[in-house]
Amino acid sequence: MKLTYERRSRWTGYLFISPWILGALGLLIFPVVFSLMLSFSDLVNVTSYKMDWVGFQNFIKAFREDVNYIPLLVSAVKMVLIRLPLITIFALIVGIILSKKIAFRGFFRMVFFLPVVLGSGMVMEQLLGQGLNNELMEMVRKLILTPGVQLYLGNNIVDMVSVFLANITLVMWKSGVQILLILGGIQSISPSLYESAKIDSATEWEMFWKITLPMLTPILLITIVYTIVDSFADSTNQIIEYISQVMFEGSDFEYAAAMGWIYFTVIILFVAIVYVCLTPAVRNVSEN
Amino acid sequence: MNEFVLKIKHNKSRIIKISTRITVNVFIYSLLIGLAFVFLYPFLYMIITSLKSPADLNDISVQWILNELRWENYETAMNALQYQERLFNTLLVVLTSVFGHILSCSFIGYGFARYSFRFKGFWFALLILSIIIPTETIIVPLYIFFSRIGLMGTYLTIIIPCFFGFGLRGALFVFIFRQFFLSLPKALEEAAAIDGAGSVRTFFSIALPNARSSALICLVLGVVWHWNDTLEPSMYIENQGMYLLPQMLPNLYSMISSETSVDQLLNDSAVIYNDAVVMAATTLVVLPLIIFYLAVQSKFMISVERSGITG
Repeated sequence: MKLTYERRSRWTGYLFISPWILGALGLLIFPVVFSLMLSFSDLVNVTSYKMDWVGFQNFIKAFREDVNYIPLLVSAVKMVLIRLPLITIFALIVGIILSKKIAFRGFFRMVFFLPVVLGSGMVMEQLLGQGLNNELMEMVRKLILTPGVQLYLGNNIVDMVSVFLANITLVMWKSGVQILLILGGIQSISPSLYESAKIDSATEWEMFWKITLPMLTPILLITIVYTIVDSFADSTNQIIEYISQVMFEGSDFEYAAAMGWIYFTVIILFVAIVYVCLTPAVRNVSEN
Repeated sequence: MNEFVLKIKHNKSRIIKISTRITVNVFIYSLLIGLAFVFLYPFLYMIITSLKSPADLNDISVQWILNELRWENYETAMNALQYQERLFNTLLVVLTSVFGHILSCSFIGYGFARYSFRFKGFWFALLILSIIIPTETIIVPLYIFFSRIGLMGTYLTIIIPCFFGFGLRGALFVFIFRQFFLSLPKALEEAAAIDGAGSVRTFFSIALPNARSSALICLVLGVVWHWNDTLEPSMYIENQGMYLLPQMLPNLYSMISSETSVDQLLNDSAVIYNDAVVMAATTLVVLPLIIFYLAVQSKFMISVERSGITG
């Protein structure tokens, strides 16, 4: 049988993604199905993986019986809610500054990506764990919050500023990839837009709000989704530590799987909300 | 008279313009320098601490300027890490994994970008799912899978998934390549097809060479992420002798004696795992990564600028 061009191209598509499908069978579909089954059952025999269906019992346990899980989940969500806007705004500011023609641009770009080189691993965790973070923050705090300023602002605001400062270092460590995304996005905006805006005597400020930001929305969507996924999957996250602890030390695989799926649902919800909120803006840009 | 007023007004607005520009510049540079300091501080701290002698470590007045540079710390750290053999193993694992990633992810990304086929939406949704799903959720079945096919405890558990578009954030790399191929004009490939090249050949001789900037981005991010990853190795590799370099660090950290005793201070030849040695070990572990980054960073930045990460 001779294949038509149409049909051939259909099979060629499968040829190209065939490695991925093969991989997905073993490394995604099987684990997901197995882990879902696990979360709805009671593991009777650990060596032969014999399971008894128990319905939602494991999930109910997470909400009703476990005193640790829900507070950890809430604090993970809170952390992402605090970090997400900080990381996005920080990456946006730095990305825009680094895309301008400034002196020592090469040096600054190199330095700002340096945390990505080390920040994702054991090393940075250890460096931050050595109290280095606190030491550094103490220095910054003394610079900004001198006793006089503290008296003037009052305790509440000083506390808020301290929390903000404690988060801001982590934010800076975690935003290397986001800066790169935005840097790349800014370069793809056509310079002719800025030129025509300049002829109409627009200021830099106006150009940011009316050209750069709207044109960046597709990249911002990717940046935000990346940030959400990355911060939820962060290994320093206590909830992840708790799940692995239940799994490996308590050998309670079913319960760990159930907790994992609840966590996953929360992440998916976050991503879905962001996606739904930003899609109209993205569509707007691509239509223009 | 009127002209004179106009001139003054003109000068005034020019002065305002220049002064705002100066203020903005001062603000931008102080921000950049301050942030650069925050980023560089830990590295300086790490290097300085790694050279401290026990006496300097215990002396609070010594912070940045040391009485002596103790290079022996590096020797102790090298022995504790068994540096040479582990460095070789780590390089082997990281480089093959990243090679697999670039090869498979560009191939798969090309399929998603150029062809339409049945259930494409479903497969693409699965791709996105594999980015979002936390590894911890599916860790147990993965463990079962690898022990069933008999790969448990070998480096292949880390390397093989990379050749199928999986592995550490593999789906993200597929996405990067897909975005790039979507933005690449089809004309060249159509010309190749007319000249009789098959689709696979067209991919390897025309599409892939054009994707050099995306490949470089994957190379840099892949090397960095694989090098720093401790989750996968700690899951699959139990034999201490096969530990990769970053896996050794927690061991060393736990070996630190919390305080250096007077005895150790006096007896210089005793092997002491103090903060300085640990920092030396940390420096040794990240050193190859820093050298790699400095070597490729200018080209890397150009690729990011030229094509963006996601096209």
